[in-house]
Amino acid sequence: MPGFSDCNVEPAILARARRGDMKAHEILYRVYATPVYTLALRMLQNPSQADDILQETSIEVIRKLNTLREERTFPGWIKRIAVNKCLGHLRSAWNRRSSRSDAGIDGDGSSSYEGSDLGRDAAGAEQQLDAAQALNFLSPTARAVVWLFEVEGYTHQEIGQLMGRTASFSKSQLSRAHQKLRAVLGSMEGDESCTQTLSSY
Amino acid sequence: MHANTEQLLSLRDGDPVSADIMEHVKTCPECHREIARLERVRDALRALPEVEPGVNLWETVAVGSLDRSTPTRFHWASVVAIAASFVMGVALMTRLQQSGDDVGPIPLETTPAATVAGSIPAVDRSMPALQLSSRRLETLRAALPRRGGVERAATAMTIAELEDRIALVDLKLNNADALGLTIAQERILWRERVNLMQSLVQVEYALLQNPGR
Repeated sequence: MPGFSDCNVEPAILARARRGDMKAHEILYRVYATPVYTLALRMLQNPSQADDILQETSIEVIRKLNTLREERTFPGWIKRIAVNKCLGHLRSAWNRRSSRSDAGIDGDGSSSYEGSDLGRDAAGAEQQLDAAQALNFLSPTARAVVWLFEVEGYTHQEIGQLMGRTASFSKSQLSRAHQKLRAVLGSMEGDESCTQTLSSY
Repeated sequence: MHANTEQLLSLRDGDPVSADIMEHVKTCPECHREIARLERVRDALRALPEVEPGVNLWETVAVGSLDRSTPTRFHWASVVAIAASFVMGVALMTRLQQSGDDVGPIPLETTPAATVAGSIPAVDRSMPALQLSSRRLETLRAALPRRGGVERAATAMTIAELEDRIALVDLKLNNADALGLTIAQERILWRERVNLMQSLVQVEYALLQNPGR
């Protein structure tokens, strides 16, 4: 998946956009729309919310592009805006409803994804799930941590800061999320699972 | 005792773990298999395809950026402009209401829009003067009677295009500081806005004079 790393644009286009040239902004939009939408869809699992994220991100780009110091940081800048928008949506969702599914994994207590719960969810699926479907089984917070760490390359320290928590929180979320994924993706465990030599670790 | 998931993830990612865990994993096929599984999950997530937005949101984005930057200009000139334009608007409406079969189309250069824009002396194309003119045209347009009936598609498109161009000018003006526009550039934009507003009012005025246009 190319993602944000492919969001490089010509300096001349950025310069035009900085001057308020809306055609240049439209060119930028064409470059970042798909990565932003993909990020939002994976993190939020909701197409209409992903639309909102793309729109809000684009508007922020139009309004704040002049604060971008170095052109080469444009991909990371866009990604940061989009991630913050996604996390903002998650926070607002938390405020609107105290999601029961969040209670176990977001709390500081014991994990709710170990033991029989795992089996129940996996049995409910009754078919092999792909990774995208498996994300649906995670709480919004866990899903965000998994996506940011495993795909977008954020560190636990960075994720903790973004979420107003600690690196330990991020590690814990990731660990529990993988326990959950292990159940729902159980059939991914194939015969090739032990191809490396034991001494490699 | 096997390594837990957090420790296995650390091993997968090359992060440090305690020596006893490291020793255990080296000789434990089960832990090793689990690390391989964690790698596959990560790879599967990274291999998910990109998803393109279902609809083209660009137009919404452009409009949204305008909505959120509601103009805060015109403060100082508003009262004077509204008062002046009100008089002109009333005069215009009175004329339209009184117009009968004997009243033909009025040349565009004599329309209220042209009058408003032309009221600025040629030597006075300062920013305040342009802003005042722009505001007068806004108010004058608001005072025009609503169009009734069906208008030609070409006319509707002309009006829509003028409105779009005005919206883009407004976007730039409302972000002038952020965009780092110079005073001269701002003045050019204001002049453009006045010209566009003048064209828009003229088209709509002509449409009122000749609805089939």
